[in-house]
Amino acid sequence: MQLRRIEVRDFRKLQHVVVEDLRDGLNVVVGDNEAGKSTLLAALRTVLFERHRIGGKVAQGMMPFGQTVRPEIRLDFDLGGERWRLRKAFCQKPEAELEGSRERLTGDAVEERLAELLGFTPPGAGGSKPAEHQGAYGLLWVQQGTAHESLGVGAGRDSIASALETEVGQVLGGERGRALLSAAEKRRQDFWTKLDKPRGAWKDLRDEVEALETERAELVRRFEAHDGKVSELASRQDALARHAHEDSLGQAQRDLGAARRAMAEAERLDQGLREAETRGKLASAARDAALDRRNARLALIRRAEEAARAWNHAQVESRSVAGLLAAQAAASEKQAQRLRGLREELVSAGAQVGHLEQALRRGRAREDLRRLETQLSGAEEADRLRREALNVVRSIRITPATLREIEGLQQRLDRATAQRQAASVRIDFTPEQGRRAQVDGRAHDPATPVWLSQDSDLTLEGYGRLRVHPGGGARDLVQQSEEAERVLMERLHADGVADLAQARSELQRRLAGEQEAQAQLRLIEALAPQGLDALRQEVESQRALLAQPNADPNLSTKASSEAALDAARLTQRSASQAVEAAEAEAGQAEATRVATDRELATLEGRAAGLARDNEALARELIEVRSAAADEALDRVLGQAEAELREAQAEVARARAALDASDPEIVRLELRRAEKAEEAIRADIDRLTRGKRDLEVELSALGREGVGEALAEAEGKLELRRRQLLERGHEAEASRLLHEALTGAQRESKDRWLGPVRERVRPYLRILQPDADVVLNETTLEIEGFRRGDREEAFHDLSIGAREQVAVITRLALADILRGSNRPSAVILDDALVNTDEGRLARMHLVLHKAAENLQVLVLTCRERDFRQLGAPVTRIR
Amino acid sequence: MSFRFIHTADWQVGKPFAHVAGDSGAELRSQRIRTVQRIAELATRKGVDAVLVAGDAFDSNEVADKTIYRTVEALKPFGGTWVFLPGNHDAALAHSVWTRARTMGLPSNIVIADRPEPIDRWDGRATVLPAPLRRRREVVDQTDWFDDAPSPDGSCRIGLAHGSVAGRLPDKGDSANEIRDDRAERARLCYLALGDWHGALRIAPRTWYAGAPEPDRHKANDAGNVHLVAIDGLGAPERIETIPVGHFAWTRLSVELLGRCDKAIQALESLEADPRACVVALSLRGSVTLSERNRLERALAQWEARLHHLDVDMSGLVDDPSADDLDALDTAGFVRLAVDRLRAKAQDPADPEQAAARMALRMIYLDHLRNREG
Repeated sequence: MQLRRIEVRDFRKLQHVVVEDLRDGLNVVVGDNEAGKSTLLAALRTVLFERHRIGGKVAQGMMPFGQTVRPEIRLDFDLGGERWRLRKAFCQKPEAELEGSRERLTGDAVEERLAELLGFTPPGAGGSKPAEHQGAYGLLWVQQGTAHESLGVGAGRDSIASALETEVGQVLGGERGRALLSAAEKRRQDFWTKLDKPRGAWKDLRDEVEALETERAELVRRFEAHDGKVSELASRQDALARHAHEDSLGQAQRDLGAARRAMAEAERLDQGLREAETRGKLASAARDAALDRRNARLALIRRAEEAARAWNHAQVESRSVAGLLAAQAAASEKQAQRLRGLREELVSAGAQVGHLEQALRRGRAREDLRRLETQLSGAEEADRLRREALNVVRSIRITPATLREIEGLQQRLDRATAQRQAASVRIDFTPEQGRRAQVDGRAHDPATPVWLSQDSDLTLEGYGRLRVHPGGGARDLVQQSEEAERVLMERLHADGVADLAQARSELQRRLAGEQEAQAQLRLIEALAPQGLDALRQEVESQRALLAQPNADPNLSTKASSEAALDAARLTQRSASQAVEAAEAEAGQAEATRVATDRELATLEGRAAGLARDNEALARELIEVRSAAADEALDRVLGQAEAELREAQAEVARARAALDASDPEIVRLELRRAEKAEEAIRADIDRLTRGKRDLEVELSALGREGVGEALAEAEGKLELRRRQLLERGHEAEASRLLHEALTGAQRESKDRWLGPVRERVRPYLRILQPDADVVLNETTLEIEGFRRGDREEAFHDLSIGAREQVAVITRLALADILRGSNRPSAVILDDALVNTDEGRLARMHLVLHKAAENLQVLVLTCRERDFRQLGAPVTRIR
Repeated sequence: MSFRFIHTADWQVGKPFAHVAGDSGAELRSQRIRTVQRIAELATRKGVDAVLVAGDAFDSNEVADKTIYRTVEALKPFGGTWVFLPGNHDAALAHSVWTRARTMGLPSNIVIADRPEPIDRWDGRATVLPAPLRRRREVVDQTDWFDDAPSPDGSCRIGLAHGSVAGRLPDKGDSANEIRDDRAERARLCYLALGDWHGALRIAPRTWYAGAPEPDRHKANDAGNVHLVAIDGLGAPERIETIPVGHFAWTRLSVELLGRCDKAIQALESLEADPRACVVALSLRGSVTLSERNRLERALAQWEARLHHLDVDMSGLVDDPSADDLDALDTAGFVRLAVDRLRAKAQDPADPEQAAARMALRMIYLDHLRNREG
């Protein structure tokens, strides 16, 4: 369809607009946003697709705001080589008219004819919607502001699909193919979930088989348990039958009776033995008592005899010890006498030694005193001299230091004097004999000159007064000199000397005194090393010693020599030794005597005791014999022993009888028989009880019919397994079929979309080499955009890229429709507003290329953008 | 002086038939007790001296109490002597259906022959010598004692045993519960009534299997009868009348198809018995086209409803889609592509998905038919 002329009157904001002389190829219609270029597109849609009798909101929407008018639209177009004129008026007095070269239609027939000519589906009621009702025109006529959105193929799909099918054949299999695919899909869904897990009846069957297997396993277990119980029951029955057959319990009971009888006999013999043993014990006790009594008697006799013997012996002993004691006492007295003599000798020897020692000490003390006195007098003399020297030293104030100071002061005075003299007037006196001179009123030795440094009056005897005025400048020197003299004199005075020479001699004296004191001190130290007082004390003590009276005035000092003392000491020592020896001997003798004395006392005591014992025993013996004579005791003993022998013989007889009956064997046999009887009875009881229990249990199990249930479960399981196998095959087949169909369909669709890609490619090459548009094979919507190896989702592209890709795809689809002899104009209402200048220039080339075969109407408010497009421009106002 | 009795065996009451689902299975189970009742009624009608049951009256020793009870109830129409011999399925164990039946209080005309002792209840006319199994598998011939068993002079000696006659039965490699083939002669028996083999069979002189009165398997043997036996006197030959008492006809059909399915349908149509009493195992081999397969499956669905039970084994039947089959699907488009691929798989024996591909083709063909039919 090529549009040729559009005239719109009273439609929305358009009062009257005519766009004419539309050519094949590119056409540009320019109008401001307010001028109504988009309304022009709406008018175009309205005249073609809205029923002229449309009312309600759609009709209302056609009215200019606030007016009640009759919107009218005229459209001239070429289709199928014919020129058609269409006119529709809406709302008030709706009208429709379609005029071709061979026909003219009015009213509703117009609508039908239009739908037939243009291949769209008129809406049942209400307004026509581009995607639903306007076929390919919904796709190719792009409203302002939607260019970057998805294509909105909608109802255009069928047109394109049929166009594609004429080109590549019926690759999709048509309606029948779709039906088979949906049947296959349904089949598959009967068996498989979306995640390829079994479902539905098949899954139920699998679950049932599983449940049946579990059930069967449980039944098998119970069946086997049942079988086991039956075997157990049989074995118990057999065992009971064996007991009955062998009469095992009867036999055991018979054995037990015999064993019990044997046991009673053995017990009787045992009792007899115990009684004999008791009798034996009694006889043995009687014999022991008789024996004890007789032995006690014999012992008493023996003790009495021994006591008599011991007493005699003790008496003899006492007597001999008493003799010994008397001898020892005499010897001891003799020893004591000798000791006394020796002690006296020792005392006199000691006195002699004492005297000699005292005499010797006095002699030595006198000598010492003399020597000490000499030393003391020497020392005292030296001390006196030392003190004198020290007194001298102390009286002298001059020390080497003070002397050095005095010498210093003297030198200063001398210097000052010399200076003064140099500046003074020297007056030498040479008086006449006897004449005196005075200076300033004081007598002056005329032999000495006078230095005058100040005005002075000299009175010369015989002459009178003479006043001297020395020259200036000496005054300070005189003062210095007088000051030096005054200092010197004060110093000398303080040190107690008149002048320097005296000071020097005083110092000499002082040093000599100090030396003297030092020498005397050394002498004292030599004579009295301990000090003078110690020496004086020693002298005093010696004098006191000698002042004591002499102990033996007869003893001459000469006789008391050391030798005499030694001899006296020797004598004393030997006397002392003799005394010690005698003392030891006397002690020994006394000790022996005391011991003997004590022994005698003991012996005498013992002898007395023995005498008492002897008497008591003798008395006791007499008493007991009077009660029972010794012979009587012997007789009783013999009788008891005979009785004991008899009793023992009886025990031996009883034991022999018991042993002969073999009681251990009897006891063991009884135990065995008891145990055997007990065990057999218990076994029979247990078996009987077990048998009864099993019978009860089995009859309960029988009611359930485990065998029947098991056989049934097994049969059922087998059946279900077979069915499951079959179902499994069906499931596999359903999947295989579905996969085969979908795979084949996918491949076919790839082939199907081939022509669209072919058409897109030349346009896309102008905009972007190496690029491709990816379409959804079912909806034909753009899914993505591929550049090289990289594919981007459509909605991820920039708005500009999206509108460019969408415009190109629409152009390609329009090409396909043209190829199927359904040429259609493409209308782009400001479809490239988001495209930059560079791309826009390229898109102009794209539009030119499309316009080679298609009619393209560009509606735009930007005239400048399309001025260079090279297409006729129509302006609406 | 004649002695007439019914010889039967292998009732196997309580057999579950669980592999037959639903009501059909339940019907097979309950029919067995009805057949027992039918035997009791027959015995009364024929006025026999006894009914000898040669083992396996019950399917196992562990059947439910109510199964025992219902079986005993079914015996009531015949007030004469019933002699039950424990077989390998219901051996006289320490605890068995027999011990349980006794505790239920059996009427006095029911004899449980669980001991190897002569039974003489017919005034010396006959002595029944039972060889009960007291284990499921006996290794010693339980009929040995027959040889020396005492019996009154002039009494018919009738042996009653359960097992296989040595070396005589086909398909019996089992050496358990063996019976000498000359036992009747050695023990001077007028008749040796045997159980265990489910078909009616004379296996040796005077030695018979009566077979199961109610068939329970697809085996082409003579099952579904009892023997009415008449012994006219000592040394007289036994007279046997085989009387059918079974209800269900168990049939095995095996058909080979080539392209078309008519032969299978014909085989079903040629069944003699009342279809409602037929338990059929149909085994199909060969190959069919998809359209024939569709036809076959529809036909089988109908037969399934008509027969008591139909078990079809098509594991040996291969789909062989014809060119027409596939052209009917689609001549172009992706469906054709998918079908071609599935077909290649279906024809490739090395392809692990060969079987699945075949079935998938069958499925799409069915879908196609269904779609076409709307």
